[in-house]
Amino acid sequence: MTTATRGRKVFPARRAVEHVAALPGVRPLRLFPVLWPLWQVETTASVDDEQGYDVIDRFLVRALSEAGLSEVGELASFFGIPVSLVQRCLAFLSAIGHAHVDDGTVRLTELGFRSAKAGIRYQPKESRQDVYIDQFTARPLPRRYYEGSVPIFATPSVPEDRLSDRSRFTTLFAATSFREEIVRQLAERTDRAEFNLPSQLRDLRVIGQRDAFLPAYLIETADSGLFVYTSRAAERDAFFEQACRQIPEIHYMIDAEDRTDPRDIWTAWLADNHVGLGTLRRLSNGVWRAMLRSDAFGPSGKLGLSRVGSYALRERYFLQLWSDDAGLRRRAVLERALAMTHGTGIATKADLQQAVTALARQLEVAEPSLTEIRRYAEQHNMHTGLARLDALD
Amino acid sequence: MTRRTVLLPGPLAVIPSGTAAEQLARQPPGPVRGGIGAVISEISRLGQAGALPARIDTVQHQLLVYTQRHKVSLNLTKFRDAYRLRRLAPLRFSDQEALSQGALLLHCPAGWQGYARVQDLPGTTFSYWETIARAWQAIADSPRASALPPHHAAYLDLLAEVVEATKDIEIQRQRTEPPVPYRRKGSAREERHSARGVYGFQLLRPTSLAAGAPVYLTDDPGLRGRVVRVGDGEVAVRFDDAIDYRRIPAQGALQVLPSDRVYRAQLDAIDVLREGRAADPYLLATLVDRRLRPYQPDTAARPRGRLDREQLAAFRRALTVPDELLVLGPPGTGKTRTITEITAASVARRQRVLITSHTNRAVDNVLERLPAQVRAVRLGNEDAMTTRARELIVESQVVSLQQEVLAATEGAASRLAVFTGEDAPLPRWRDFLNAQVAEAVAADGTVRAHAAALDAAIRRADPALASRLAAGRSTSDRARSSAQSAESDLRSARQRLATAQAHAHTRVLALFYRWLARRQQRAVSRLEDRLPQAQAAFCAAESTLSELLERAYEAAAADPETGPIVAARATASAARQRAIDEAQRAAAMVHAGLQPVMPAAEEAPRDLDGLQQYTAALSRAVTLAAQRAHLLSEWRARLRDPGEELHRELVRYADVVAATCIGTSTTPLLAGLEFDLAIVDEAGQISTPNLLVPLVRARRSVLVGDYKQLPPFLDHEVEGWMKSVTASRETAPAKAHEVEDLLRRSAFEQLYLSADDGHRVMLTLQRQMPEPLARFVSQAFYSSLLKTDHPGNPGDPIFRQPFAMVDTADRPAAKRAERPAQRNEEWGGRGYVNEVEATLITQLVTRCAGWYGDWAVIVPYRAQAGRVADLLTEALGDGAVVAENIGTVDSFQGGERDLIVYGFTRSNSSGNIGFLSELRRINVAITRARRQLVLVGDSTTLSSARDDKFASLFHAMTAHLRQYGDIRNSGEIADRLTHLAGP
Repeated sequence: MTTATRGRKVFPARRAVEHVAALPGVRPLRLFPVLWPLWQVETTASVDDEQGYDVIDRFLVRALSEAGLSEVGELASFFGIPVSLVQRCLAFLSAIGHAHVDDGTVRLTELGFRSAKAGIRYQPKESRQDVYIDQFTARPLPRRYYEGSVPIFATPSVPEDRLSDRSRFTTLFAATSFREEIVRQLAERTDRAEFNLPSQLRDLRVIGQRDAFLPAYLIETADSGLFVYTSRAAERDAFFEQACRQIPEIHYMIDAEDRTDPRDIWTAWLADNHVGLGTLRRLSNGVWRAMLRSDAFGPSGKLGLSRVGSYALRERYFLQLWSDDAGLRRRAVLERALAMTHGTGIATKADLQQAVTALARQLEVAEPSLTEIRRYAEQHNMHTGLARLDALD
Repeated sequence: MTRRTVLLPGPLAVIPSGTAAEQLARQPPGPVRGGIGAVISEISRLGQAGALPARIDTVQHQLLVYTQRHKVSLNLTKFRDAYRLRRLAPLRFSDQEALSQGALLLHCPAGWQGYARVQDLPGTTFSYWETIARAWQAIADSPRASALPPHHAAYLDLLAEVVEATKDIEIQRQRTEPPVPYRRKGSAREERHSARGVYGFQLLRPTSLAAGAPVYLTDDPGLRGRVVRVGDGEVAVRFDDAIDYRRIPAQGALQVLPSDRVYRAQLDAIDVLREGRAADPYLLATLVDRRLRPYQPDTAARPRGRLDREQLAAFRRALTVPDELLVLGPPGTGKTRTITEITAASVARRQRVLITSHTNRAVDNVLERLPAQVRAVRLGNEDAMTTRARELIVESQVVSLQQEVLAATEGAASRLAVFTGEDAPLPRWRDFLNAQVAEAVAADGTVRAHAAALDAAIRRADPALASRLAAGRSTSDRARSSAQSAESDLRSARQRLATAQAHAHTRVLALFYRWLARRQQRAVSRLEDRLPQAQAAFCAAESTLSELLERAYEAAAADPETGPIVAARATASAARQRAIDEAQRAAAMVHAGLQPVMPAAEEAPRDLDGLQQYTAALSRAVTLAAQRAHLLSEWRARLRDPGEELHRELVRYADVVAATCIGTSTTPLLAGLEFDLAIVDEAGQISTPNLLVPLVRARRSVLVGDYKQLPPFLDHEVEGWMKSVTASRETAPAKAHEVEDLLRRSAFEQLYLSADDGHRVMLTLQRQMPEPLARFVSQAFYSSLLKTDHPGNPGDPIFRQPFAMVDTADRPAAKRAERPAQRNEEWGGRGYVNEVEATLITQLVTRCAGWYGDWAVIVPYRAQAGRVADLLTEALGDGAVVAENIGTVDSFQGGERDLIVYGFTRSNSSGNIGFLSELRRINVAITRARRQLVLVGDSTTLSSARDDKFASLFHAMTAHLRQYGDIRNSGEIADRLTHLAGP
């Protein structure tokens, strides 16, 4: 029994294709799912944790800073508490660096005074945080990659329960070695907060490092361009695209991959998938489209309704699944609109409207309004989708 | 690490074959500029940068190196000093995939050089094949770097599975419990320790609810609490919060609250281990791999009391063991004493100790024996604690702290009251004082100014007088200073004298100091003589000066020019004096007010400068006193209603925290707290999931227990689940074995048996049982290792030895036979009753119990316990006493008695002994006896038992009884008992 990994699924390849295909003037050719190698560097730093004082410590500290008391015995008799209790409280305050006890006399440290004045018990704590560095370019990843929803794996393979389609990811290899000064230099940058190292962290130190892998899709375009998509957002990933420009190996490897005639692949696919009759067409932007019968989609067909206008992938090539039935396509838009309500990046009704507009354009239908989407949900008893739709701002 | 850098210091050579060049030309997307030469230069460049990826293809016996575009296959030449470049292939994604599984990074500072033919080799190149191959092998051998080794993860998964299964069974059982209706509610007699409400409910029918069960009201599920008492048709419930009595329905029902808090605690502990957050990072390795670290015991450590040899060994090891120490403590070997000593010594070393166990009673046992100076806190359900332990719960400690503080600071608070508040007198006096001093200073200034003017006028008018005045002034000044120095000389001389005198009594060089003291004494006397003279001289000088001044001022006053000045000066002088007098009065008031709180020095000086300084000091003191007054009144106010923070603090400052295993997880007061040492008592009875709960919070631990006594409780439904798992064909045999092990054996037993001698100690000197009994127990259960120190048991009226048996085999089989019981036992199995034995036991207890301080009857079956209880209540009349002293083994954990009567109960012709086959239960039962053990049973059935292990135990027992004990027939005993009854 393997322990289920927690976290979101890797976002499916076909969404990346959808995005690319919609970009004007772009001719996408092939898609390469890769695991991008990162260094996951475990660092430790001191940070002042803010805590509230309890009772005895607060009063002892006030007695030391305001009331001129300084002997353990004095403190005990002033507050009417046993000496042993005072001693243990002072031991605690010493342990967190707020006080010095020297043969019965107590002195507050600078930290102790600062805390007393602020009324907040600052406790220097060790904070551990991971820093992700691209192994190829030794550049640190910006803060947006640290969100919990971005899947990053510790081994060069994606666990099955995190895959949302049957993409097979190949792992890239960077012939570089980790050097601690990469992190040291990062720590000295004034903008380091943009890389998930807030300024409150002091004395940053590296304590360990291991590999980590970020799933990404490399999409080769006709003019030898390379677009990169990661799970961080349903849009192009500028950081990794820039990295790719500095890594010639990637381009060489893409070139070295065997090219096949897409027509052969897709004919075979149609046959294998028993979706009925379909004709293959090549669009002006180079994308291949299969025109299928309406009954290939939906509950009675082989493919779900939401696959209309979306893509099938095989051997790094992709095929758009299409139907001439505009009504069918419109229904697909409505279905997918409801599914989008729980996607990342959709927090408000405006977000949803924007996404729905793009989708409608992709499926070449008129865009539905939110009321129409709502009505669709009601008609089809899609309660959860309806609830989420209403919950959007 | 799946990546390793390999340093190849010398130059490497590569000889490209002809085919390679052709391949290069043929490959898309076109010929590489510069051809093979360029490839080789790239290899060299990468090698020099330490970034040349390489792999070994063990099948083809090739070295593969990777450039940005190509995968280059290299074969060793015949003389192994160079490589032939046979093949070039374009770099592909699959190559990178292979590299990420394992790769070497070659660092070749001397570079790679291409040569056209083998003959061209300079003879100074190397291939470093062995180095590379070795490094490659190391990668292949190294385990895949992962956060948690797979077998550790598997262990945790198994534990979680067992916990989940147990939880599901328990929750299901709780859900199917029917509600318990009540017809009346009322307040209950229970003790209250906090604001939580305790109410009683009169039931319609008897219930199986037990004390400690969590319940809620069916009609208002928000009202939840715990049963504290069941009896007389009433159930008392202590609610979780202070609830509104009116909210409770007048009639309704109580329902058992399905509570998974225990299981959540266990699962949390498993998660802590999984995430590597346990206080002891090696804990998981210890549990799974049974790896313990070597260390040295603290041989210099001494306990406060006396410990025997093994107790001392355990003590010394416990203080330094870095991971787990296992102490096997058979009955009566002084486990509690050892634990107490270890705790006290650890606290003295400033360590924070957690005392925990399976039952509340065991925890309280240790707690009550701790020395007074140890600060201890008891956490948990107060109804399950002893009275003394209850005093140590946080709430009680807060209450007593409150009382202490308010009482102790009462006096100080009232003394300081004069410093705070709206109309506080002392600050006003202080302000008045300051004002007067300011006035005096101002007047003084005026006086000086006038005096100066006057002096100038006198000089003009009568120079002779002026010069006499000046002379007089200087004389006076000199006399003043010599008087002052005489004073200070005297002071220091007195001080030196005092020091010398003190040292004369106490120091080593007493003689010297006494001589010094005498010298000082003479000096003091001289100074004392001199002082009055100096003071007198000063007075004289002063008075001469005054006379002169008088005359001068008289003359000046007459003069119309200086007259006004003199008058003004006199006025100012008078004003100054008035102000000084007022100031002194005020200072006296302030001083008096300060005296009780902050003894201020001396009295107010009379001169103005001194007075100013004195006033400033007083002023500061008053401000400080006001701040202290303020602080103290806030403190007292806060203590009246301290809140949860004080609870947390008291726990944090405690040296010892005592709680049951599950109790350590379910209280928020322990959040974030870690312990330097955990001492776990009764460890043999604690299942691994329960043990993990406290153990993940401690850096190291001492487990004390006895796995020859009761094992961890195995619920019969859980046992059923376990059997289904082990029998299922889907389960691998290894896993089935592990599941069974986990449920049947405690972690303590597993660790003890696999530990090295440095990590385990067996206590062997028992002081509880009489020797004949102990010897048998030692042979049967403890490999004959137990020794005894016991006074024996003289004077039993019937039995000649402390270890005795009454054999019912002399009765007819039908009479002495068992009878199946009406209701089933707790664990769902069938119960039995044995009338003959019950009667005999009743007679024994009735007649003999008077000879002993206390007694108990232990039988294997609840049904039999009930029967004996009925008979004994008839005979003795006191149902409560009887109920407390009769039961099955489980109700007698750790409780010893002077007289123990154990009835085997089973008597049949087939040798069925059922429940008795759990030999450890028999061990527990018979070792409860402090002075006399009487067994009652049918030797025919027992010696022919079908269970082999029981049969051999029984044979050994009877053999032992014949030699060292007293085995008698039931008939004879019955007669003796009747005789004893007498008048």
